Amino acid sequence: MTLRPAPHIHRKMSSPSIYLHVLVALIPPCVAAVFFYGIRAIVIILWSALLFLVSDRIISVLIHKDTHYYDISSIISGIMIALMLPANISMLHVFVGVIFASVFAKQVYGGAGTNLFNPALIGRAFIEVIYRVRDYDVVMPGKERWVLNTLLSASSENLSAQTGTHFSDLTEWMMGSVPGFMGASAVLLIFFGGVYLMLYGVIRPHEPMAVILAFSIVYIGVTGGRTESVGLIHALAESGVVFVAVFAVNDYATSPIDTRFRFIAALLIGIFTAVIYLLVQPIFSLLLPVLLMNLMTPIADFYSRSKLFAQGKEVRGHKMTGENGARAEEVGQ
Amino acid sequence: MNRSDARKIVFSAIIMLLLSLFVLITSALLANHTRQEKIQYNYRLDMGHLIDADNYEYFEIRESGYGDSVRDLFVAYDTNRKVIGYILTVTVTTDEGILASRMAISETGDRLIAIEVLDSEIISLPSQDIIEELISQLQGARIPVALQREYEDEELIYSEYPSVEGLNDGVFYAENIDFDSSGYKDYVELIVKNGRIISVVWDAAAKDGGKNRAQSSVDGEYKMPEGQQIWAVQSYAMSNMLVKVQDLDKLAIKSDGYTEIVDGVEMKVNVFYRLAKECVDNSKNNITKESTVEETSTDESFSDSGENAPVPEISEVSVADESEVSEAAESENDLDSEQSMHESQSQTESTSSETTTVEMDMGGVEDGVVVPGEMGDNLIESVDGLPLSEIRTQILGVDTAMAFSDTLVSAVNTAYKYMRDYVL
Repeated sequence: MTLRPAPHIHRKMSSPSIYLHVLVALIPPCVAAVFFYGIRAIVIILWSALLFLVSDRIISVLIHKDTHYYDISSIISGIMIALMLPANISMLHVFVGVIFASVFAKQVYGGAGTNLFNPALIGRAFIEVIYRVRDYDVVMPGKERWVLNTLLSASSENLSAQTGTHFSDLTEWMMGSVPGFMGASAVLLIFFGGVYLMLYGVIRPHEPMAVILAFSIVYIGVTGGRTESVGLIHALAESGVVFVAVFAVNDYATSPIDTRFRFIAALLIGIFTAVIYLLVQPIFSLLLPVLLMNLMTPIADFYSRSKLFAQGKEVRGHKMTGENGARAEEVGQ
Repeated sequence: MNRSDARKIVFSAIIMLLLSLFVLITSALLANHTRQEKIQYNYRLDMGHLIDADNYEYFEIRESGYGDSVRDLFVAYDTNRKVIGYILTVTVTTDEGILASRMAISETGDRLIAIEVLDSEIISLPSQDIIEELISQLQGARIPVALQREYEDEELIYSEYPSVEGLNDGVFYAENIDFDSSGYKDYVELIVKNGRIISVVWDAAAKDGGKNRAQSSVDGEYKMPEGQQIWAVQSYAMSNMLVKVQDLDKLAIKSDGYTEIVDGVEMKVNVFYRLAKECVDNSKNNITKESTVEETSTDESFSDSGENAPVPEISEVSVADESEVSEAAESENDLDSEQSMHESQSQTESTSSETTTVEMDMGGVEDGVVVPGEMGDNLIESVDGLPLSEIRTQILGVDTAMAFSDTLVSAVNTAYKYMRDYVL
């Protein structure tokens, strides 16, 4: 028997195949990123993914960790970091974020499946803290597909016109033609990825739906009559909440094991995302709620663990009451 | 994971890739179409009351000799992609403050179709009624315009020369049946607004389709007898006098075709009298220019079955060189990018100096020329830097808001000059 890190699931599907499915689900937002931001998107996505993979591999070798398991999750984390960045990020900034995520958010905890925080989100948050990417010059989707110079030196002009005079309609918002994240705003294409994962049973629909529903209710409730349908789609795209709902909330390693806790966490993420989006800039609404959930996950798992393994259920005429069913009482006595 | 699973994943990846591309490309096409429609819809909401066009095209004005005075330029097209006019935003700064106005100008650049006051920081802004009164005087007028008080004869006021009764508003037109011995066909165009003649143009179209007589005389090609003013000056003086006195009978044209009451006019003006009379009659009978021109062209097509006689078109009414106007209109049709607009600007810039330095003798003082003196460097015999001979319409203005009238007229003339120098 081969010992492998989480997720431990009693299905035909193995961890590599799950990660491969997630990789396939990330294709649509990657295509959107390349479609809107061109050659820079290709370079940054590849750079981030390969860097994460190599970093994880090197650390595994250095600490003599079991390395027979080919860690596709590194590629996924790398791609996710890239999709949450603007197109005018420099490769150096990506390097810093990826190395930090790989070392301090993943390998320090023992590698894939044992990490406390989602490495991609931690990496992205670290880049934000160090470089204040939110103040970067806004890159308009579809305008600078062949620009390369920012790969070595990021455009960091602090322009006040964050929103610009971009003319957007519903179609553009749905496609992710929103200045900001390269691929994390492509609502419709992320939705395709989500449907794909659901069809293959990689994720449940409950949590993504809970996040989006909670976000929408809070957003419409707070903005009231001023909100139009395009306004909500705009918020869904700009906040990156759909990306989070599909690719972060159901992360096996960093979300609660108990489905009820996971559902509640999803609702809270939706609410927090809407509140943070309305109060501060979209990058915080993308990162903070999920990282908060990651932080609470061990606590949720602690309280839900006692109920696992048939606690409270009748097993062969006995009611399981103790931890892991250690103390069994005769039913009907 | 076996080989079958791997194949399934690879197949899924290809499907996802193709699906994403299809959706992105389709939506990009849709979004572009929707965006254009939305832009045009917004333009129509914003400017449809000035010119009801099928399509508006925006041109950014980067640098011009008019500083920030002229800000936005839109070209209005009809359904056949033919230019039907221009919309300009003009800001005029005076001692009284800043006035921003937007106006629609005809495709030939010689008529103000509509005007509105956008934003004003004028200290003593008149009431809405006064603004509307002034706008009603300007709308439909040939440009450039001037206030009547800017002319020498300041005593001449509206009350002294009442308008002829029974005139209907509109543009009226009359022309000679045949070309004269010098190869020109005279025509008169008269505009009536609020029952008053506000603009008169007397000119003649060349048989060979070349320059009109006024332009030829300015260029020295059409000569007058020794000692006389050039033809353009005399025709202008006649037209101007009719606008002032309103009544043809007051021009006192004698049976021999001469008049003695209009200074500087020594040529026969019986043709002007006859054609202007026809215009006045047309106005009374409400026979507008469109119907007159159509009727004339139909008649000529019957009478000149073998000969393709040139019929003056709307663009020919202008004193400006016909070929220039048609060329400008053609070049405007071809404008499809900012760059081409700026190329056009740079081209016209070089020729504009020739246009503006045309000097016309107006009673011994060269109009449009700066004369240094005690009054400072004020333009003598000029309005907003335009020679009086170029002024096409005089308006009364509003007595209680003459400063505002001045400013609005100045805005119109600024737009006219910009059009002349950079667009047409």
